[in-house]
Amino acid sequence: MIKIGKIIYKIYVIIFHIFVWVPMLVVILLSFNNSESPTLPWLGFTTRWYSTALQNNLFADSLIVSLIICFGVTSISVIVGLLTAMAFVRYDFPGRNLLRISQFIPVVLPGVVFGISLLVLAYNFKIKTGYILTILATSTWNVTYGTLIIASRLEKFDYAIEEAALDLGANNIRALWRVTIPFLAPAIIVAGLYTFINSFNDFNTTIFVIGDHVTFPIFMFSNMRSTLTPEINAISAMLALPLILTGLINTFIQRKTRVK
Amino acid sequence: MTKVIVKVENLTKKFGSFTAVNDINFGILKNEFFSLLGPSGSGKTTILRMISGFERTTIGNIYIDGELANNIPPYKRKTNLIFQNLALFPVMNVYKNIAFGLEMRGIAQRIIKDKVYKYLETINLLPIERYARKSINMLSGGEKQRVAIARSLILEPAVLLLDEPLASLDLKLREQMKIELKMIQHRVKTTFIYVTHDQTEAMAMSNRIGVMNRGELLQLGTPEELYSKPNCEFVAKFIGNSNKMSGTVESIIDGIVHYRFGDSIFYARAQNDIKVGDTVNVYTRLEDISISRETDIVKYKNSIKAWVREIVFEGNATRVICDYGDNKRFDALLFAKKGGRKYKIGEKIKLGWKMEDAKAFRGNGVVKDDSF
Amino acid sequence: MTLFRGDKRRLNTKPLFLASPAVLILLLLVFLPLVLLVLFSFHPDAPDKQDVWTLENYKFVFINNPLFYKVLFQTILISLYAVIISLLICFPVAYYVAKIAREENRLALVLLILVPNMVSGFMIILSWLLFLADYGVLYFILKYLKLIEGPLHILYTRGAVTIGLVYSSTLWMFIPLYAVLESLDNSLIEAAADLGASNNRVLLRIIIPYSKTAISTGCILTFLQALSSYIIPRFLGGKSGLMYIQLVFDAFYTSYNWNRGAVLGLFMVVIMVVIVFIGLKTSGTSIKEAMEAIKGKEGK
Repeated sequence: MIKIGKIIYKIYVIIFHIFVWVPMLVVILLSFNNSESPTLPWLGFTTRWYSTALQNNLFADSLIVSLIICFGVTSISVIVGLLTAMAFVRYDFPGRNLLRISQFIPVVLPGVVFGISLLVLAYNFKIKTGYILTILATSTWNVTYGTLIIASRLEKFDYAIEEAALDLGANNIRALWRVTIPFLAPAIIVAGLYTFINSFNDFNTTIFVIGDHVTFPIFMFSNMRSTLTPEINAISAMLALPLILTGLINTFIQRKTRVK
Repeated sequence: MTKVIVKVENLTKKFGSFTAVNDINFGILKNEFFSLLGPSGSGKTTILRMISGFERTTIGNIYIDGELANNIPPYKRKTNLIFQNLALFPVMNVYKNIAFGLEMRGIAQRIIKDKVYKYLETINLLPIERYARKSINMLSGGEKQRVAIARSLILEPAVLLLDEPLASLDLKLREQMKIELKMIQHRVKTTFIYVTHDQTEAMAMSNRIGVMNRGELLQLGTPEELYSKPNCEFVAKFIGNSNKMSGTVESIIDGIVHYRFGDSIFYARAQNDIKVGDTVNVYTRLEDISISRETDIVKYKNSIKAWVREIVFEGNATRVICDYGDNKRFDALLFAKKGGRKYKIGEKIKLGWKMEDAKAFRGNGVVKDDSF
Repeated sequence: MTLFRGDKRRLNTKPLFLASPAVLILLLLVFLPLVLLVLFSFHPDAPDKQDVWTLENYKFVFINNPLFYKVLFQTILISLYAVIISLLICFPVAYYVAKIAREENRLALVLLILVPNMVSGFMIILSWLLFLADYGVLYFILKYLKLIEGPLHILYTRGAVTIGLVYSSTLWMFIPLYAVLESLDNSLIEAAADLGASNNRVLLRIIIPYSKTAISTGCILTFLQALSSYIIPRFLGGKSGLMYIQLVFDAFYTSYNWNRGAVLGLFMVVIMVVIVFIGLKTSGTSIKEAMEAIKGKEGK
């Protein structure tokens, strides 16, 4: 009896793993469908939808807009995250715990609330919606992620190494640059990649504060409201690859540089 | 007259209400191998960190090579510190670690390369080419030690500070490194300030030792002085292996204390101010105790009857743990070559020692009694 | 322990400098807008009357507004379904990967689960759209297996939304569970077995209590995720799968009732706070522990 139970359990886990992949694989597979409809029936293999996708100007433009915003958000998140992590881990100051807890608020609050509140802010103070507002809006929770990721590595730093650098003649700044930052480098990279993906995929906040511009998620949104063709499968498939790669790189950096 | 290279005046360090170092004064001579010896928490590492610049003094002054160093940051002091966990830079290989200090001084790469290679040879990491490129975590404990030492010595500091550098090494390596460190010190003619809790290390390597406990400097002297003329109970107990015995003073003649324990009178040399009627604690070294059979006639001034509780074989010597009544412990250390009989557990024996080998202190309650 | 900078007890201004950008961001981009939003909700819904204070928006939303309560109820119901189903589905898998799978396989198994979640949310929606459409992929499979004849009617129902939510919340549920289960010392289970506990007992008395924090964190996060998911109900839901967040979007984008939208948005925050509160209280975890679990998520 137990044996059968174990086998069923194992099968269940396998099915679970397969199911997690099936939707994505279905999309990718159907992007090669020689049909005007993105779903079955299968009418033959073709790559023409990929060429249409690559020629789609709206798609390309939306990528550029997204990249600009992501670059801005990632820069802010990593830099502010680094500074804040240093403050948290190395010093004790009044309000430290309050700041710690407050940083979680942007993470837990739904993106839509950020969107509407900043929209209202822009409306009230006659600030223009657009790139800058979107970058600022999306940075709010990404800064927290950046801080957490970098702080978690910084906590494992052996101060004796920094003192050794000082002892050997490096002043404060040089010691930081030659010893501490290299140590933090993996965390900085992970934080950068993570916030990049996070801001790239954001829709709920961006849609409110981006104004007339179109980011990639917004492009997908409008595209999906009209008739679907396998082109959208092709676009999804093309984006899936770099996104997955980035995620994997992140995971591997984290594992490789785990401090014992 | 040898120059004083490090002078410490009224040195005090408080952490909040806790006093880690209390009014310490001493001077270290140029090219001396000086040790600060004491149990954990005695303040010795704190003093080292103040000398190297990582802690500020609460009160007091530190002079390094004649100049007041209190406000000088560590990267500008003429000292270099070897950290307890070595603190080798994990992101850099052996070459870069050793070269670091020279790079900080802006010395040309050409010259750095020569120097580093020379030091790799000095610390015996051969072949040089292969070791230079090795990553730090590929090194053994002993190799890491040597890289840490080279990294500091290459800067030719006036004073090298060492914070329990041998603590993480296994016994054999430690023995080897003790000799190597002493030889290195002679060769590079640098002052070494060495911090340790291990008295055998301090005794083996130092010209002078400062014994510390609970933030106070108890005694400063050569190993021989500390061994034979301890000025307080703590030092007597801490240095070497000792027995402690207590009694009441009945008379003092010519600096020799006659004290009573049980039915007998014992004789010991007074080490501090003792008056008749005082309780004294008397310390004897294990190796100064001789054992004879119960029926033998003892030729020592001091003798007491005891029985053998335990025998511990310690390699080059045998420790005989005895009970001289009422669960009071007295050990003797018999060296193998003295030959002679083996004693059995439970056997009744006589312990004897000379009165010069017994040091009497007026009891001050610092050291706990020896009992089972 | 810091870089050399002198007497520790002097009030140190350096950390305040370091932390100030983060503080500024929080004040100007989080708190200030929220405060403004609250104020905004008390203005009437007309661009020219923005200096008048009124409760009319609140009245409109909460009083005599059956749609609002219907949608609210539906949202909570769907989210609860999603949470429970997600928990039931993920827990066995998390346990398997954490405890039963061999050590060298674990990373691969975890990655297999995480990777599909790394892609854009739209891809996930697209895939479910294609899958569950009336004449979609699932239809073809079932037709091939001769299980059904006519079109599926799964899409644009509550069920579709629930499926989508369950799928997209795998990350938030799986990772805390996995992290905690992995940290569970095998010897605890063995000790229990040694003392006579059957498998069921071990599960009930040892494993589940131990993972209490992770379960509650996973559920809370999944619930919050379900509430803040716009595109899933938007594309998979239709009329019967209408979720609360769509009301907020519509107020701003369709009907242009911004001030009312503000009330709806703020109420959403209130709901979330209540959910978090209930979740923490019922499982007895503290905020600190939940934060630790979220941090653990980052670590994975």
